[in-house]
Amino acid sequence: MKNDYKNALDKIKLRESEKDKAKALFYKVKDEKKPEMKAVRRLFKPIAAIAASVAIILTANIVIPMLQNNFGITSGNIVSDNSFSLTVCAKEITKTEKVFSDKYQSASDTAWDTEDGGVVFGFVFPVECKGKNIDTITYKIKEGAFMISNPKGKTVVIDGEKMKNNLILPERSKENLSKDIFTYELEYYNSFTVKYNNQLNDKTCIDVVDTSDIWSEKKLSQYKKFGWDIGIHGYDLKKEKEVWDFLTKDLGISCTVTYKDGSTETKNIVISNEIVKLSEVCNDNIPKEKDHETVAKCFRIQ
Amino acid sequence: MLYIKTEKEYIKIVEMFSDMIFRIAYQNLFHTNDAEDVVQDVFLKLLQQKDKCFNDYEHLKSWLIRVTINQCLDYKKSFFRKNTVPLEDFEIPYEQEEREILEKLYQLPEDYRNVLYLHYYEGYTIKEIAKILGKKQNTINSKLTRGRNRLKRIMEVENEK
Repeated sequence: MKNDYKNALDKIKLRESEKDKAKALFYKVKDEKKPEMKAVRRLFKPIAAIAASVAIILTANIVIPMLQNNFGITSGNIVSDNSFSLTVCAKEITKTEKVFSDKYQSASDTAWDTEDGGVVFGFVFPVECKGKNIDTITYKIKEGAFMISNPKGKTVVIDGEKMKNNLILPERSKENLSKDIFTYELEYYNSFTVKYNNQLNDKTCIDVVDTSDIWSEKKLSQYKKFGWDIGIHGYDLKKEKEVWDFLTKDLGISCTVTYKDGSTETKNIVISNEIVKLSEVCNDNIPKEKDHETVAKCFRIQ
Repeated sequence: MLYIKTEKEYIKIVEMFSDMIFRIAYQNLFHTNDAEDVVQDVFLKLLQQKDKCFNDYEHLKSWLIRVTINQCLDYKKSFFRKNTVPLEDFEIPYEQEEREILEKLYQLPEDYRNVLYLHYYEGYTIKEIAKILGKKQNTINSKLTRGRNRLKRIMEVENEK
């Protein structure tokens, strides 16, 4: 048994291309002090299995005044009590105020470079919808997909348009989703609809993912000009923000609610990236010496 | 004393230890691409230690082993894994017995696997393993014994089937 063990392990060798990549790291690291760098394609922190939901709350009060006319028709205001709001981490998203994913969600961003110079990436989509008289909620994305992980047979999605499944995309690690690693299912949607009273269950995770495989040649060419190793974090925050802004600018995410009276309302969600201190995006008590800057996802309404 | 100041010195270290780092990562994660990521991580961490002085290559090796194992723990907590080929598709020309051993190893907790690896493959003593991993010798001894016994039990159960 011992020989089989040694022989098996002897055969596990790093590919030459990966060795070359490791050697090339020498020139990527400069001598000056930088915030803690991670070559990992994913910044990781343990987090609860539930993706945080961000609800953007938009209050929509429709007031239609009716004027009294000469024929004695009584005028009045018609006010609907339909309302629609979205929040991130329990904070309302507005057009002006920046609301960040918390540290753990930001730390779950994942991205890696592909062999053709492109990129694949993903991050938590922490949006929750709250309101009155809402029947269903539909999220759409123009570029990329929503990745939804559910316990098998317990999907929250009641309708949706699936993305073609032969693309290489991130997926949530099975160990992180559930202790029972064999009973979850994962789907990719260009749009999905959930019932208002069943947006999430305690094991649902929703992420935004994208791959340059579906980009135009022009966009891929623009991305290549950055000359950036997407796997490195903390090395050049300005450049890192610039690259992530490029990645998130065309996602085109919208949220449409359908009220019980059949009317609908839509808001567009904008995701940008900001350089912030960890303490700004996290409620944990972070020691001063560890409160370094990072690039965090910021959510607004367009 | 060993400093990593020049590219030449660094490349020598990559050549010496990259396979070892990959092996440790692979038998922790059993996922080729994740293990490759860990290798890059570990070398990046090493480059951040340019001012650190290692007593010798053995000291450096111990440091690399510890960092690799810690990095694998972080990966296991991660949200994302790549949607890439799993163990079965990785093209290592295993013999049947070798593949069976690895599949059985996969059933052990990773801390048992790491101790077995360091003892049987790298040839470290219990005392040395305890120092590398920052654990007590009794703990390492216990993990080694239990790891061996569990592996034997797994193999016995498999043979009974």
